[in-house]
Amino acid sequence: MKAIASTISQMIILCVLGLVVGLSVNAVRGKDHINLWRDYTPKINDGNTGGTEADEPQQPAEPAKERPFQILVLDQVIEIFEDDKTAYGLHVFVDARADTPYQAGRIPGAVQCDYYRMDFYVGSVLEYAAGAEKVIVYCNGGECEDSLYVCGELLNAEVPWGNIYFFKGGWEDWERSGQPIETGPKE
Amino acid sequence: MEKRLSLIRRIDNTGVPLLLARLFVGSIFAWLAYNKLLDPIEFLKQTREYHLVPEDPPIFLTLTAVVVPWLELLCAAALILGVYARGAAATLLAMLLFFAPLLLIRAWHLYQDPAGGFATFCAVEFDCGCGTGEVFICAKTLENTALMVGALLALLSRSKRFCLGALITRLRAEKTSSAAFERA
Repeated sequence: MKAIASTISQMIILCVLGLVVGLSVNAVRGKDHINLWRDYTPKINDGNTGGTEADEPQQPAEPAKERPFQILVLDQVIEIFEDDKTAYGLHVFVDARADTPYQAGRIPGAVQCDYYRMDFYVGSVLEYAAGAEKVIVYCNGGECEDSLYVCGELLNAEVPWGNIYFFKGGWEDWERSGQPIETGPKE
Repeated sequence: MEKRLSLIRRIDNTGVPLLLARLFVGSIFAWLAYNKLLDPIEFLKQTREYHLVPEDPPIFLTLTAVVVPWLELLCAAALILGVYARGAAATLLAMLLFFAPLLLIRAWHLYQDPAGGFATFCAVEFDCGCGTGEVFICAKTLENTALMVGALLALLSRSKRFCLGALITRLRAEKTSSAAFERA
């Protein structure tokens, strides 16, 4: 009985210690800090329920935050990429992936905005987005939801809904199509 | 039967089985915790995949992602050093008993999903959020079983040899008794 009580008290001490150390270290972590109160998985409208195609007149009745984002497919993204406006910063590509995949390969010129480290990136992304006509957000493609989360955050940060585009096929489609890529850290 | 029990007791009293179990479970958990701590965000994402904790309010999920790796690391250190070893073994055993079946359930869902295209259950490979990247479910289950056996051994052993905690207790007792002797 005494041994059981002692084991349980040891477990409690270890759990409390884990909690204290975990919270303390998290508080001083820079980029990898987890915001305890942030909803990292907000409800998003992924466009599957009547998603909108880009370049069509967009004036749906519902408020901007409830509208599905404008979806782009590979051909449209390539067209935008090859447009002169891209070179002038009027079309901005936003990569919603983490450091490792971003540095391994991205759409040339894409700005990183890892959704889970939003606080770290949002300032610079908003600077790029401020003067842009089109902000094209992508992540891995497939089941990846991070780009939609970033679209939501951009909308929250007052980037006009009409300027935000969601590249559904994402990196997988881009890489598979043999388009040019950029690697390494962003200069 | 009694003879066999006494043989087990004798082997246990050497402290070697406990030491091996502590080092085995402790080092593996230290490695797993280290990997999770390298990328806590990735661990948060993987934890979410299990839908273990309510996502609203988000504090449950985020707190789990913040605390679990540190709890694992502390328990691993406690086991290796032999301080609070029984409590650490019980905590890790409880975690294993909780997470191992969940892993199997998730693997079963992946196996049943035609999009996964897994020919056999053992061919199911996925990132379980354990800190080792993608793993085959059968290999992971074997590893978990071995860890459970090790943790159970550390929990049930009566030996206190090679434990820092026991050494500290003994030194403290010696100090107290020598102080009492001097007073007398």
